Amino acid sequence: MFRAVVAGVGLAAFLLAAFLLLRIMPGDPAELRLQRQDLGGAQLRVEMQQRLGTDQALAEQLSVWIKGLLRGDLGRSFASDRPLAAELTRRLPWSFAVGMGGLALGAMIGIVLGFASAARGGTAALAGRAFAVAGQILPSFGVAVVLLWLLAGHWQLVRPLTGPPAERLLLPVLVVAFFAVGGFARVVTRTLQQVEQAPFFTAALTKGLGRSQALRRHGGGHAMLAVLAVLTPQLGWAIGGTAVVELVFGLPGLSVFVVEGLRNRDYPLLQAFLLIAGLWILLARGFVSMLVAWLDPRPRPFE
Amino acid sequence: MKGLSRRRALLVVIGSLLPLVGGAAVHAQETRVTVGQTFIAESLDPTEGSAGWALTSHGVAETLFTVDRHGEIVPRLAESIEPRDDGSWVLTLRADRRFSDGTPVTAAEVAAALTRVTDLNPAARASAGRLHATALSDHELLITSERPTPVMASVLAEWPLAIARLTERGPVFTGPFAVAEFEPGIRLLLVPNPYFPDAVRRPAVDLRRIADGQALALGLKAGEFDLAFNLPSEALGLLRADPALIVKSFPVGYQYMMWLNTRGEPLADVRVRRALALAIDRDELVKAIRAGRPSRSAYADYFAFAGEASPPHDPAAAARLLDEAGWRVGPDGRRARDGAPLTLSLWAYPQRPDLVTMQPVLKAQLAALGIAVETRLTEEPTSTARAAAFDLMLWAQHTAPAGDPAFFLRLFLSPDAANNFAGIDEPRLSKVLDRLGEAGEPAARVALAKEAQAVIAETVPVVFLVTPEWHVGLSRRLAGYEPWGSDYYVIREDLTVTR
Amino acid sequence: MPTRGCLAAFVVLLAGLATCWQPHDPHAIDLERALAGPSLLHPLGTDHLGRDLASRLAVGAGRTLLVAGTALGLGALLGLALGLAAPVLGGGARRLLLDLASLLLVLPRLLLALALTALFGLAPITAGLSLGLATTAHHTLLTAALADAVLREPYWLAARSLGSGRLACARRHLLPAVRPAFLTHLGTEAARIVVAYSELTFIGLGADSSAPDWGTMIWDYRLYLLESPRLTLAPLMAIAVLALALHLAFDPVEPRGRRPARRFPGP
Repeated sequence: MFRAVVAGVGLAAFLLAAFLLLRIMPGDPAELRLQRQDLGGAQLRVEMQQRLGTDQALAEQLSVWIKGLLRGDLGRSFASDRPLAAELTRRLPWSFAVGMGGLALGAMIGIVLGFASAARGGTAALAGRAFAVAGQILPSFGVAVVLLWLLAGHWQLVRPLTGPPAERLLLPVLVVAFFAVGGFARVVTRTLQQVEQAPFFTAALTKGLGRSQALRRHGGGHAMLAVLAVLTPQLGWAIGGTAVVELVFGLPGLSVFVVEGLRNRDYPLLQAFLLIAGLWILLARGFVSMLVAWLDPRPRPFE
Repeated sequence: MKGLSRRRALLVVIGSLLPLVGGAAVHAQETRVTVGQTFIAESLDPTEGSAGWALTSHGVAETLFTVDRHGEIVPRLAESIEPRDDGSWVLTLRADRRFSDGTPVTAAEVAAALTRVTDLNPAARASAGRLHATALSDHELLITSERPTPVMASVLAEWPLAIARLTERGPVFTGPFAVAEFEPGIRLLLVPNPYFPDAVRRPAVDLRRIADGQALALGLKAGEFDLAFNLPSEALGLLRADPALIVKSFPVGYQYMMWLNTRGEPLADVRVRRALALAIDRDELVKAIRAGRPSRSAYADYFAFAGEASPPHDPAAAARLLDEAGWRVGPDGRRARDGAPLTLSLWAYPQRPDLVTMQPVLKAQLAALGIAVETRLTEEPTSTARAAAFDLMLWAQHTAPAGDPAFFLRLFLSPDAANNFAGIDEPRLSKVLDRLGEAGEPAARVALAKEAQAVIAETVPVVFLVTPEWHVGLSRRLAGYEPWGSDYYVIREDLTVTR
Repeated sequence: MPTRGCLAAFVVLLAGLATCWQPHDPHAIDLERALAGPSLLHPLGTDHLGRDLASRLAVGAGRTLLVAGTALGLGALLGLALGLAAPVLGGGARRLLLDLASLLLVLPRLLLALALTALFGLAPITAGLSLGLATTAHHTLLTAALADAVLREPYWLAARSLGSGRLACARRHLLPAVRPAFLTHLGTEAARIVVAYSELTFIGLGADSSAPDWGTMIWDYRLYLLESPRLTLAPLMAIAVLALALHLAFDPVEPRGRRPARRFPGP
């Protein structure tokens, strides 16, 4: 309960800050909308500002938004006048599938690779390191384009742009996983290497367990904790952070929509997005910290 | 063993986070072509924003008049239009046309559509203000405009004036295709409009938005599209090497140009502006963007009112003009006057990648004359240009979208225009514009347009650089498709599958 | 540490020299020689406008370092401070701080960058600042997670029960315990910053779009990825070298015997 209250206060402060930050940004949504239609002039701008409600005082705009939220109404897009709730529900699954699918796949491969590299070293260790380095220096649009060219353009194995949803998600998930694998593999390897030096591990070896068997049995929990520590900050971009991939693969996801919304200064859209993404990250974090407490019930000194 | 079970539980949790995706492909019975392009209509209502343009481009909506592939204004839903002495117009409709729900196109429907769209969409009022239309008979209507115009046919060819009929299930149109499924801005499934002549020859069209040009090209290569519209020129080599594909390039009505901010020094001096115009090597620009041809005037070459003389490239003359204006070359090779260096900012915007490519080329060309150029990018070109926060501004614009030369001149070069980027107030241009507001005779309009272009060449508020070419990629099934009309008419009635 | 520090200093010095001197004018266009392969005249070949690739790479070194340096410095300072404060404060304050940090993670980088540009104007240093702020949340969460793991060790309970103050504990025991893993993380973050900058430069955050830095070059040359991958690979390799130098300077490889027996380090 206490946790929920704290999280609620945090979310409210965050949304208020975002509300103000959006309006600090240069660019008038009314003017931008007129420009997209090749229109201009003071008269039209005033009319458009009235229509969008940006002519009102900040406090008034804020109260309109909050009242709407209390009624369960996310408002309408400044760019298209369409209700945001419907638009977001249609786009959210795409982004979520790409982000979470990619992270999950990346975590699985990373864990396997990490175990293999700690137990045997050699190729697995090299692969883990290669993924980690590649994930840092390669730009995601480059990896996406090369995958698209190889698997679709050259070998014609999938139809990522016009196929059924599962086929369209395949390559984007692979790209996200590609960038996630290295981090997971390295953290698992390092954790296991440290476990190897712990006294209880030596004890396990003297009981007659093989090295990789002992690693699996005694290092598993520790590795999981480390994986969760890496996963938590990444959950933040599971929705909304996959714009480049969505753009390249033509997915009608939330992330590209948000980038477009930024360009149009679509305040209601961005506010609605930040509300949803904020709720998501808090819930996900709460869930992860429960998992951590369950996996490692030792007390913390300052709690 | 407790640790093990926890680990298992965790794996199950992570596994269940994997998206459950499914959905088998539904293979339709009818002939279907898939089209990829960078834009899809955001709405089916022509009173909203630029929906009229998008729907016309998709082959769904039609206007009363249209611009054909030679740049001529020709009747489409209309048969003819005649002016009356009081400045109003009598329009006669074709008798055989129907909306895609089967109702005939009557004068009453068209009158309602015109009045509604000019009432609700400011873009529809740009040329002649509000239109008021009343039906005289089944096929004749009387049109009066808020501001008189000598060329009502051209006004009626403007994209916001797409003719729609409102029904309970949304607007319906008259074009060769009708909307079957619609996801705004994402996807549009079109079926042949059964009431448009020769409907059986047309395939269903699955229109997809692919915002990234490189992805579009690779999708075409993968066989995902039958038609990929507006491919980046960098991808053409890859596509032309593929025997299964056909790439067609075509000139468009857009022009790449450079606005000169005449409000302050150094560009207030016409000699400096003329020097800049002379310094530009257009052939090099064309080579840099890999397609198109050097601009000869404000309009694409296929328009009757396009100027013909090639603008000269003469760096020596440019240098003389700059010397005359007091900007002399210093020991460091840079021009300066009274100790102040000649430095200009040159803007472009990423939405038109060709302009960004041209930036460093122009920078180098001006550097050769001793002019220092700072290249800059803006995400909001119209704001930057209107705020006059630039010296030189690269710009892409269709200069005669409704087949009439006055459009560009009125929008950008009349002293009080919102888009008077150059900040020019040239009485001779204003006079030409006034006369264009009266002359209805095509030959007279051509002569006036050429006069305006001569004044522009002399006073240099803007320099025309390149008439670009765009590229369309086709599968063998659409081998017969001929692109024309820029992005105003992509899906047309002659879109048929080659067997 | 000293030798590795020297290596990093050498790379920085090299970048500084490269910014001052290049074999060719990096802005000179030669369309007849566009996309030419490596030769004696042009050791890395030319780009799509016939500009010398090596010279562009050289002139971009300084700008790239400026961005990466600003972003890393700011992000690390703030992230370390907040990340250590959270577990030490404990209770509701800890929760609130970490919640806010996670919330910041969902704020699109572009939004932050645009707002900051509006406030501070355009320059590579602005881009660095906005990237630094954008990564602060990440650093904070990571530091907090590292500190959290350390805090669960039995000796902490001992130190606390001996009556050491929170601040003293953090400074004397927590910071040294967290530092190695955090620095490792910083080393790997440098490359990410430069690549992330390639997105920002293109929305107008680069003060002069034709003054190249490595991030802008990657973005500019992306359309030639299939036709001449050399153009994209060159700045990527440069970034990799920079990242490697920083990586080594920040000391990830500890001799086996000296490795402290920490149980739950971060990445």
